[in-house]
Amino acid sequence: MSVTKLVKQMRNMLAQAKTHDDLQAIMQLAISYGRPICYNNVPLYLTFIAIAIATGLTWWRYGYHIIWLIAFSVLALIPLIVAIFRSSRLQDLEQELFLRDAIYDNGMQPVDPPSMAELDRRYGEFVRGNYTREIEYYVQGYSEKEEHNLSYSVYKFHYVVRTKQKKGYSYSHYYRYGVILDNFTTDSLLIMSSSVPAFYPTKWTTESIDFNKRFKVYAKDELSAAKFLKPAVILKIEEFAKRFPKANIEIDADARLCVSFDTIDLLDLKLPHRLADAKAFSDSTKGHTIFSSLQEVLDFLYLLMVQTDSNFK
Amino acid sequence: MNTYLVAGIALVVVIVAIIAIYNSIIKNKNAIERAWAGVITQERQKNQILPAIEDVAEEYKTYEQGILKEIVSLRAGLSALSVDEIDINKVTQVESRMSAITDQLNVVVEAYPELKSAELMQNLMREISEQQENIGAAIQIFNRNVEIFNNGIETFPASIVNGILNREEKITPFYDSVAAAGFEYKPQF
Repeated sequence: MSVTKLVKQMRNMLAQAKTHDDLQAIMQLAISYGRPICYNNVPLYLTFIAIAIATGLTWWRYGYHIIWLIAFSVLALIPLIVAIFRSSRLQDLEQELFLRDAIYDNGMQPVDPPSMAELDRRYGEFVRGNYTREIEYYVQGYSEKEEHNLSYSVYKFHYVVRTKQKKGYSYSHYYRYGVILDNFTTDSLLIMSSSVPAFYPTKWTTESIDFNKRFKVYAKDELSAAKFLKPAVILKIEEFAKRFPKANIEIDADARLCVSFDTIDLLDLKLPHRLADAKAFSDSTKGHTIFSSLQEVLDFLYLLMVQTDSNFK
Repeated sequence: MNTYLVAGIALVVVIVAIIAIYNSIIKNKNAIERAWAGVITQERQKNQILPAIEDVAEEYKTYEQGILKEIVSLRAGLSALSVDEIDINKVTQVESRMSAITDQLNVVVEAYPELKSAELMQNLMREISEQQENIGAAIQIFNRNVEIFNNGIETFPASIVNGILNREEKITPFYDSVAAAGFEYKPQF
């Protein structure tokens, strides 16, 4: 079987995979292949170089019509594109396989995200961009802690801002990452450092000059904002915002919290091995992979819950 | 004509800058007062847990007198706290009373291990711990505001505006002398 067929088969199996065992079956298939799962792109690169040189030399020597030059240049690019495309497909497979294994390791499960309309109804956070908006992944998890259990979803949100230029439009792509937590200790509150529409009427400032410089706070009323923003909570949020840039914390009317920020992908993992060494790749999935940034966010949310709940229920 | 225009613009810029500095000194001072009120508010939260501590003390008679005596002192200390007057000594006294109560509670828990697992006691200790954390955080916020305020009146050119217009004095941050006594190192300022 060729590497291309094997990769296709593995991709199909991964699309159907729902459990750890399904992933192990894919790893087993990779190991039983017996040869390194990687592409030898050297012939394609050599073909590209040969066609490019031949095209350049003949055009320089004979100076034929520019159309021919363009046609041969496109021809030269085909092997290069094929090489890049198939390598990137293989890399995507490796990444997805390793990620999915880590997700199952952590007792998490990819699910369909709520619709954008539903998210817009709940949070100002998703009212961004003026072109495409999509949730690229939405993974549910559950974490048991001493005082509160956290039922959460991790997401990656992609949105595009379209700007009119002199000729046509330009498109800027942005990403936000975050966690949505069910059943928080308060409701109807927005603490934002990255500007989004505020759904709540009362603006609140805290006693901390530093906090007020960084965040704006909106709540349903002053009392709920004051009750939530205890001094320890203020310091924890300031500390969190130093690590997670442009952080927003938004709690909807049904007490579902959404914490969001820029640049830090919570499910980002570095591949320790590639499928070229299928055995090492498979072995690297046997340990328990920790999403360290996600863990930091969950610990932060847990501390907020502990600080803002009632100890005498 | 151009010279007058440039001089006029420069004068406007200077006046706007002076107003901005003047206002920022006032805002920072107000923020300190609010942060101090935050410290007092957190201290007064202790009033909520004192009845629960009294209940525990009554149940364990051997320790009752010691704890109740400290509670009386703590209540007196709490009522002496004022939002209007930044008196760091009074807060320190309240904190030392609270610390004495917590120590006594720990002695009770040591003497009666079954108490440690009782829900009321667990909740009480958790509440005390969270309150103490909030007081620590409130003091930290107060000290940071004080630092911003002091920087705002001591650095140039704000020092000139303060010297002529605001005439505010430098504020001393909260300093835990009891904790500092445990260190050999003494900073030379």
